[in-house]
Amino acid sequence: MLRFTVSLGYLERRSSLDFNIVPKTIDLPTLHALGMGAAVLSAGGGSYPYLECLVARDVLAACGDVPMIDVSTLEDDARVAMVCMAGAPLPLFERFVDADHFTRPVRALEQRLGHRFDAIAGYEIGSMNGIIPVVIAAKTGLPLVDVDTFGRSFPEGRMTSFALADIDMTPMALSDIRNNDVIIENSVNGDWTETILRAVTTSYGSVAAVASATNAGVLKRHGIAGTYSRAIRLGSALLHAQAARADWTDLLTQTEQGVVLARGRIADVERTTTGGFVRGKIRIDDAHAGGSVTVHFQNEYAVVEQDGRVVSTVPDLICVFDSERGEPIGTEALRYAQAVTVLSMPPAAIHLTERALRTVGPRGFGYDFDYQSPHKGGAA
Amino acid sequence: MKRIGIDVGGTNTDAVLLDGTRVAASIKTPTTEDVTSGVRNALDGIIQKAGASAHEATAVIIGTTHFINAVVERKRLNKVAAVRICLPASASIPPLSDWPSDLRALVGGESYLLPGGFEVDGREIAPFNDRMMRETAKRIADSDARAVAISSVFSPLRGEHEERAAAILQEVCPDVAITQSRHLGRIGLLERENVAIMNAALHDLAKTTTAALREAVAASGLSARLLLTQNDGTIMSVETAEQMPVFCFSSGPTNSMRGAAFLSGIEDAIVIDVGGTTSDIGVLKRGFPRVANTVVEIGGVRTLFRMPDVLSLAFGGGTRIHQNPLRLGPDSVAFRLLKEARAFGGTMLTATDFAVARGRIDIGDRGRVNDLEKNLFDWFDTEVRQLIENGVESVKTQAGDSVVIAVGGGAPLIPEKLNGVSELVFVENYDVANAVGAGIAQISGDVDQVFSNIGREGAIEAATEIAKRRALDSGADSDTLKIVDVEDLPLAYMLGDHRRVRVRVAGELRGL
Repeated sequence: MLRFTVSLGYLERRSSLDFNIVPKTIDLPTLHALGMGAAVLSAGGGSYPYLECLVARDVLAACGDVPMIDVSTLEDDARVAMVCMAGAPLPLFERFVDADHFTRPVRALEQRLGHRFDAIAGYEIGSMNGIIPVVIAAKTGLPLVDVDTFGRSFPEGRMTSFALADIDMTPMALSDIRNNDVIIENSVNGDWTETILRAVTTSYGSVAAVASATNAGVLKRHGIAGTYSRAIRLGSALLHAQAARADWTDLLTQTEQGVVLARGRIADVERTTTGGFVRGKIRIDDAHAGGSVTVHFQNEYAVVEQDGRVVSTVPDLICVFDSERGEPIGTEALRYAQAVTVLSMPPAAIHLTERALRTVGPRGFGYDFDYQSPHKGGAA
Repeated sequence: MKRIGIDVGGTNTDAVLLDGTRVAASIKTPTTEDVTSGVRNALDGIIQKAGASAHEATAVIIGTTHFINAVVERKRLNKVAAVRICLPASASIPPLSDWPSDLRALVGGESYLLPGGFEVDGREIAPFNDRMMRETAKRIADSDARAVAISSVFSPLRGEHEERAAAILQEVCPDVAITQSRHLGRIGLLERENVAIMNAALHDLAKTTTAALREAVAASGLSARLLLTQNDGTIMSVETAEQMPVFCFSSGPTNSMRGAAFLSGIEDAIVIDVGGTTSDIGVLKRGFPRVANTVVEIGGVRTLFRMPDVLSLAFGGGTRIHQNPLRLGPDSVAFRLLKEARAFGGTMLTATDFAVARGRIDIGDRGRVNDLEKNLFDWFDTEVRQLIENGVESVKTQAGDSVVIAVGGGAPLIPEKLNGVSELVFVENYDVANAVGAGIAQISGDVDQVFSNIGREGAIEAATEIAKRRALDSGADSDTLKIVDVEDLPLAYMLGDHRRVRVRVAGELRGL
């Protein structure tokens, strides 16, 4: 067992994880690694979810650690509540995630359906949405399923693996902090669910706690299994490398099949906003390879070009790290002259079907070219 | 027009008499434990050097690290009651969460969470509750809290609830000092509240220190007005400083950078301030330090407020050179330089010894360091060059070579030819640039708000108006007001046009 000290945040400075073994329980040290891994899997959409980890720390202390279970160990008819936060990240810097608030839609749905849930699962592993299911699981005393529907962060609901499989997510329960609950009983399709969800969320003050119901059979077929393990593994690897002052890129290339696409300083940052999206690109002058690398982003990192040639696109997991500290950098924190490393990791296998690539591949993001990748197949 | 600028650092208290744009006199004196006697000594020294003309000074402007040291050293802090107006939201992370336990034990009093605060779109989360606030105020009056920190959700957008809480506290317990978070910090409730609690915890110290500084000026026989420099390179009245001691936290690096701009006549450049233990590198934009937009940790507590974006390197005049194996620092002999460095008869080889051996600084005894070998010099030059070049590269905000101004007592240690640097500027009085920076400080106004559905131009215009009005309210002369910084950030995942705009303006103090 490795013991090391980390200096990230002020939350939990000591960790004692062996980064090769993923624990079956989310306790305090695991939570810290999960937060770090969730930041990596947000692919630039967020940063280390400090506030949410603080909330989770207190909820774990009050309610106990959260058991994490593999979806394959559940009976097909096991009832699973799918949860997430919908809205803008900014309000959460002032209005903290609250365990009671985020548990409300789960309870509302139980009342509506007339049964209790057996387990909790998250829609999105990325950044704060990776931690919120842990808070709800701890509060309800239910186990957390090691699964999600993005395998990372994506900007739109139509990109979940459930939406890609045309799974109806209604009835869907929404709650605000004042006990205003809404249940979307039925909608024509996923696009309508998202339209209604966005309108209600805006009326809530741009933060909504969301839950819908599924069963383990559906999750086995259409969920992305093992994303929590992956996040914890990634986070532990980074924390371990930081503490040991080891080369963190080695760990990510070895354990996560990552490919380094650029290493150098940011030579240019361009950022605009259209329709609630932050779009832009950065140029990196690669000190080692000698070329120029451009990374395009749409809230998350989407495309990497090396000297004008597209080498990696969504759904590849494209991440930009601070070269020295090995910490993931969100698109909003990109800054001229930062020393960065661009890494591409394999996507979830579920994203590589023709149907999925139409939505989560480059064309789904409005680019006029097909999926390009340095990887052979999906994540192991 | 004459002014006296004083910078109270960890080691030295520096003072200058400025006559218009000329440094008429300067002095370095040791910093004293009580700060004020050091200031008194510096003032006496300047009066002695400059003679009668020192009495023509209309203002004494002081920059001090006294308050940040109190937080870092956990000394002289008073108990604070925290009032957060947020319910039913934001109860999940209580005030003082994640503070180091020793600091929390010193500062932490009772915390009170009350209904109210605002949504990101400006609506109330819940109505403010007068009766509950009144009950809270009575409990605070009966407690041992000497000061109260009030915060509310999205108060930088709408401050009414903090304002109403303050008014009730003022009425019910007039002896308790009040800090409102909206006056200090930015969006980010926990970090802004942390700054407010720190500010409130410094209340007693701020009161005694400002009184002592007033006394020191009075005792020196000067009839000058007393002002203090703040983190962004502008000044505030001693009355404001007494209310807002956290605004003094980073006056050291800030004043050095402002002084560098003034002494060189260059408004846009990178400044390196080489002290005894560290070198601070920062960016000057229109004569002011660029402000950090990220969380800054102070004494182990996360804060988010107006602080200069400064990169600190472990390299200064006292940095030790280890020879077996060859290594640059990172330890320093610090204030023991004049005893322990080789050039002064000590046994420690320091960065300063290399500058003395080269004849770059005329201090110590060059004869004691003339045995340093050429290959040692070459190694030292390469190490320092790489460290500084890398530091300069990291703070750059645009492509291309930059002008770099070197100040601070260790400025002569900076190698003359650096990659990525178009010109390295050395200035006269480089060793008292911080006191000069204090002496020339201006007054400012700033704003950080979300503006909705009025377009980019409209939002910046509206923000600029607010910033100007705040500067005028603080005593700025309207004819000299200039925009120092404009920044806008569109907000993701929100319907409609919302952008967060920060604007800062600065000008001369009226009637100075």
